[in-house]
Amino acid sequence: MPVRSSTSSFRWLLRGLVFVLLLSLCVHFIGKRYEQAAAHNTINAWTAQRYQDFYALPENSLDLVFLGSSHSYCTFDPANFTDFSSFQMGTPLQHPDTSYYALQDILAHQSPKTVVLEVYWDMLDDDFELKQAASFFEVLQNDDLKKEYIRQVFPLSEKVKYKIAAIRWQSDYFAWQSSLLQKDIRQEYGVTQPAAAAGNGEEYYLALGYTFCNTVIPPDELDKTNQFKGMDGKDFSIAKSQKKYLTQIAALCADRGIRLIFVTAPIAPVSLGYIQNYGAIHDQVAALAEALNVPYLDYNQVDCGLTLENFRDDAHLNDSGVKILDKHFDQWLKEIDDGQ
Amino acid sequence: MQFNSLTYLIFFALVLISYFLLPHRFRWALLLCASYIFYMAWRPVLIVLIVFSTFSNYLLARKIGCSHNPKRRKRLLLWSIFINFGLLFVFKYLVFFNNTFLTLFPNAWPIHTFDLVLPMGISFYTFQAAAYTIDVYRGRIAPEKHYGIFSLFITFFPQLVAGPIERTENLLPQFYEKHRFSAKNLGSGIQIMLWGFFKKMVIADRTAVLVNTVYNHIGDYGGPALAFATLLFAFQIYCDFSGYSDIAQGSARCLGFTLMDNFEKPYLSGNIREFWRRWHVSLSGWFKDYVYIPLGGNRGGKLRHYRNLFITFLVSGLWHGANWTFVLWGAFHGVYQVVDTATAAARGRLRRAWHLEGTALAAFFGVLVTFALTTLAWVFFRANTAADAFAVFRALPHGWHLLRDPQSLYAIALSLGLNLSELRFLGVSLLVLILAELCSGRYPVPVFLAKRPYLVQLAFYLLIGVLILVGGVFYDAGAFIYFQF
Repeated sequence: MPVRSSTSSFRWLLRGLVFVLLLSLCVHFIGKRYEQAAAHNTINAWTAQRYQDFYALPENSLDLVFLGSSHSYCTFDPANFTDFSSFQMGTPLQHPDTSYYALQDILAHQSPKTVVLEVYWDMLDDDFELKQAASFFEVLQNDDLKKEYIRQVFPLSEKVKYKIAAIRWQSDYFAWQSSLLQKDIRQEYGVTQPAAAAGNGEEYYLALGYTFCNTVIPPDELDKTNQFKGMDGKDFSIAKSQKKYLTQIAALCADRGIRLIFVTAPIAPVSLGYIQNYGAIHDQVAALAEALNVPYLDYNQVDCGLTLENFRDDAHLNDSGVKILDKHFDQWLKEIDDGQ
Repeated sequence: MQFNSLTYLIFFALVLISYFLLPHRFRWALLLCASYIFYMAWRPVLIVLIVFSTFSNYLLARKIGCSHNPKRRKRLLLWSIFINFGLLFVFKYLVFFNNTFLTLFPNAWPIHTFDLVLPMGISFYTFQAAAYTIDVYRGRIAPEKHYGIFSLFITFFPQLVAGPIERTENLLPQFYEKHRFSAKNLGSGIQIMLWGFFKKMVIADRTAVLVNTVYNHIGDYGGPALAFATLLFAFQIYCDFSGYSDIAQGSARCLGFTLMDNFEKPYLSGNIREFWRRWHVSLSGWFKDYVYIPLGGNRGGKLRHYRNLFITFLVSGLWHGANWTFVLWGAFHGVYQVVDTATAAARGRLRRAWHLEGTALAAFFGVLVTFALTTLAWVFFRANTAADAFAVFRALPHGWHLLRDPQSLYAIALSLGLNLSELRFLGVSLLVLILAELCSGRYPVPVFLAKRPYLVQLAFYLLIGVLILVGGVFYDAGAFIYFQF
C-alpha cells in the first residue's frame, strides 16, 4: 500500500510538473506576442518621443519641469511660457510613485528651479497601478532606477504580474487586435468609425513634451459616456502609498532647493457638475499641500474663462484651452514670485 | 482577502503545508487561526461579530441539548434565532428599512439616513449557525461540545464568506477525521480551483465590464444592447458564484475536506423547480428546510402551498440584498414557482397529447424557456434600482431594427465597454465553458474530466490555464458578487 501510495504521489507530482512546464512555455510565447503589441501603442510612442527629446536637451538647461499624468501633458505647453525654459514630462496615468522616480531621473540631467506636479485625484486613490508604471519604464533609460522602482514601489503581486509578459501587455495586445479588427470590419462592410470614436480633430506630439490636440468634446461625453456621472467626493481618499510619494517628492525638492507646486488641471464644466461633494476632494489635496508647505492651485475652483469648447473630452483640455489656462498660470506664477 | 489574489495563494500554500506538518490534534487550531486571519484581512474589528455569533450559538445549543423542558428549549431556540437574525437585520437591513421609511414618510420619520458597514459573509455564517441550533433543537444532531471545533465549523475559511452553507452533519464530523496528505486530493483540488479561477477571472470579470457599462447607463442603450448585457449577466453571475464555490471546494479538497456541490449546471434545467434544485443548492436547501417546510410546505391545500412557495422565494430574494430589486427578483421567482407548480400537470398532459413526453425537443424547449425566464428575472437582480429594472423592460422591445444596419450594429458593438478583441476573447471563453458543461453531462466538469485519459485532462487544464494567464482580468477585477451578501 505505501508503495502504491508513493507511486501515486509521484505520478501526481510528475503530472503537476509537466503541467507547470507546458503552461509556462505557452504563456511565455504568447507573452512575447503580446509584448510586440506595445510598440503599436500610440500613447507610448508619444511618451517615447517626449523622453527622447528630454534626454537630448543640454544638461541643466531647464528652469521648470511639468510632471503628472495626461492631465499634465494635455494642460501645460512649455511653448506658452516664454519667460523661462520648461519641459513637459508627464506620462500616461502617472501616479505620484512614478512622479517621484521620474523626478529623480530628471534631476540626474537637469537642475530646474521649479517643478509643477499636476495632481489629479484619480491618480491618488490607488495604492498602485501597473499600466502607468509600465509606460514609464518603456522610456526610462536608467536601469538602476527602474530596478529600484520595482523593488520599492511594486507590491509583491504586482511584481509577479509584471514579470509575466502576457499579463503585463494584455490590454495593449487586446487594444491593438481590436484596432485591426475594426479596420477589417470597416473595409469588409463599408462602415465608418462612429463620430464619438472618430473624434473631430487631430492629435499629435508637438514639441517640448507637449501633445497637441484640437478635438472638441464630443456630444456623447456631455452626458451619455461622461465618466464622472455618479461620482461622490465623499468616497475619495488619498492612498497611503501615494501620500508617501507626494511627501517624498516634496522632501526631494526641498532638499535640492527646488520650488514645488501642485496644480489640479480642470475637467470639463459639465463633468464637474456631475461630481457631488467635489469640495471633499479639493480639501484633502489642499490639506496635504498645506502640510507639505507646497503652493496649490486647483483649476476646478478657479475661473480662468474656460468653456466646453476648450475641452477635447470630459477631462482634458484641447489646445485652445491650454493656451487660456497657461496664460493664467503664467500670470499666477509671476504673482507668487512677486509675493516671495 | 480575495480568492483571486496572490495573497490568498500564498496564504493557502502556507496553511496547506502547515496543516499536513502538524499532528492531527493541533490541526483544528491551525485552521481556526487561519480562518480568523482570512476574515480579518478584510476588516479586523468585525471578527468580534463572528466570535459573538459563534459563542452565542455554541452556548445556546449546548443548553438546548441539556434541557428536557420543552418551553425552556423553545425559549433558548428563540434567543438563538433572535441573535442570528438580529445581527443580520441590524447590519444588513436596518439602513434599507430606515431609508424606505424615510422615503415614505419624509417629514414624519425621525431617523436620518446613516451608514453601516455590511460585514462580509454575515448572510452565510448566520444561516449556517441558525441551521445548527435549529437542528439541535429538533433533535437531529447533538450539540458540539468542543468550542474550537464548533468555531471552526462556523468560520472555516474556504466557505466562510460566500458559502456553500454547509449542514452540520456534512462538515462538522470532517474536522475530527484524520486527513493524510494525498497527492490525488491535492491534484484534484487544484483542478477544481483552476476551473473556478477560469470562470471567475476569464468570464465573470470580463463580462462584468460590459454589463456594468450598460446597466449603469440604461437610458443610453436600446433593446439589443440591454438584451445582450442581460444575457451576459446570466453568465457573469453563474461564473462568479459557481467559480467562488469551485475555488472553495477545491481549497477544501486539497486539505482533505469535502464541501457540497453548490451548482449543478442550473442553466440546463428543464423547469423552474429543477432550476432551484440546481442553483445555489445549499441556500435552496436551507430555505426549504427552515422556511418552506415550517410554513407548511405543500400541505394544507393548493392555495396554502402556493402561498408558502411565494413567501419562501420573497424572503430568499430579500436575503440576497437590502434593495427592493432583490425583493422583486424573489417575487418573480415566487410567481414562476407557483405557475410552474400549478401548471405542471396540465403541461404534462399536453406533452403526452402531442407525443412529446421524454423527447429531446421537449427537453430542449424546457431548457430554453427556463433559461429565458431566469434571465428575465436577472434584470431585477442586476439593475441598480427598481426604476432601472422597469426601464430595461420598457426598452427591451425597441431598437432591434438597428441590427439590420451594419453601421448601427458596428456603433453598438463599440459602445459596450469592451473592445472588439475582448468581445471575441469572451466569446471563445464562453464557448469553452458551454462545451465543457454540455459534454460533462450531469457531472461537474472536473469530476467528468477525472475519468478521462490523462492527455485529455492535460490538454483541457492547459487550455484553461493559458486562458486565465493570457486573458484573465488581473486589474480592476471586481469582488465576488456574493461578497456583498
